[in-house]
Amino acid sequence: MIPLFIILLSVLVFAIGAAGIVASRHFVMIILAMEVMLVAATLLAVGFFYYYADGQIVLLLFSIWAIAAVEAIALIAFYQYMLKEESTMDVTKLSGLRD
Amino acid sequence: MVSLDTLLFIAIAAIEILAAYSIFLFRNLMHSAIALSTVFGITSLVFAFLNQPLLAVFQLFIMVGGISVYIFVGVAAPGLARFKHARVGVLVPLSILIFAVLSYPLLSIAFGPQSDNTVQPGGIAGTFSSWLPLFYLIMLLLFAVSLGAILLIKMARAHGAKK
Repeated sequence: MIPLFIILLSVLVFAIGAAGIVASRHFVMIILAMEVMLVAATLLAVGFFYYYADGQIVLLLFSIWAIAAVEAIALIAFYQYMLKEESTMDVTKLSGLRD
Repeated sequence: MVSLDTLLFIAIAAIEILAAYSIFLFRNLMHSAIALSTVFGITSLVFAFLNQPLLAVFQLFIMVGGISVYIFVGVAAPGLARFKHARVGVLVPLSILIFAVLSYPLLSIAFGPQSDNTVQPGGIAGTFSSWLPLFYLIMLLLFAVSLGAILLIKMARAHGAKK
């Protein structure tokens, strides 16, 4: 198997995540799209490490995983707040939260 | 002649891409969360495919075991109502366009000599990869248990509402 396959897979998954951010207006869906983009980043990093790198990758991966975990926790906090406030989940109408 | 490894990788990649698209195509938030967990799990499989069993297990623990459960319990379980899904007419063409733009420079790249790096699990005796199927089995069982628990809660709520 050639490294091009891994690169193409990660680029395609990243593109799906990036397009998902543009295509959806639901708050939760945008966060899920960002998670998909982070997964693509880990995929590319591991592929690069396997084929070419000479060093450590665990710290880089743990930082990406930590960002993903913090994002998920922030998502839950905002989601519960929005449910409690009966706010809209449409990001184009979120300016109502400032009131 | 295409090797078996390549065929297997193409099958895994196809499942991952389908799961990534279906996150945005499902109308139920719970189904989107399950599709996201599938993407995480398949990514872990790709790590195992790249001869990184330790990273595959980390991916299982953190992404599938941690983040997916957060999203199930914190977001998807309270919000089982349907919502407006992503615009498919924008999603698919835009993702193909972004993919084409990002992968265009790859046409002129000359790949150098390849190595075979593996993250070594320090302090763990024996071959770590032999334990990998057990971790995947546990992941599938816990995944089924968490989904079953949410479905049972939903059924119990519906039963209580009838009374």
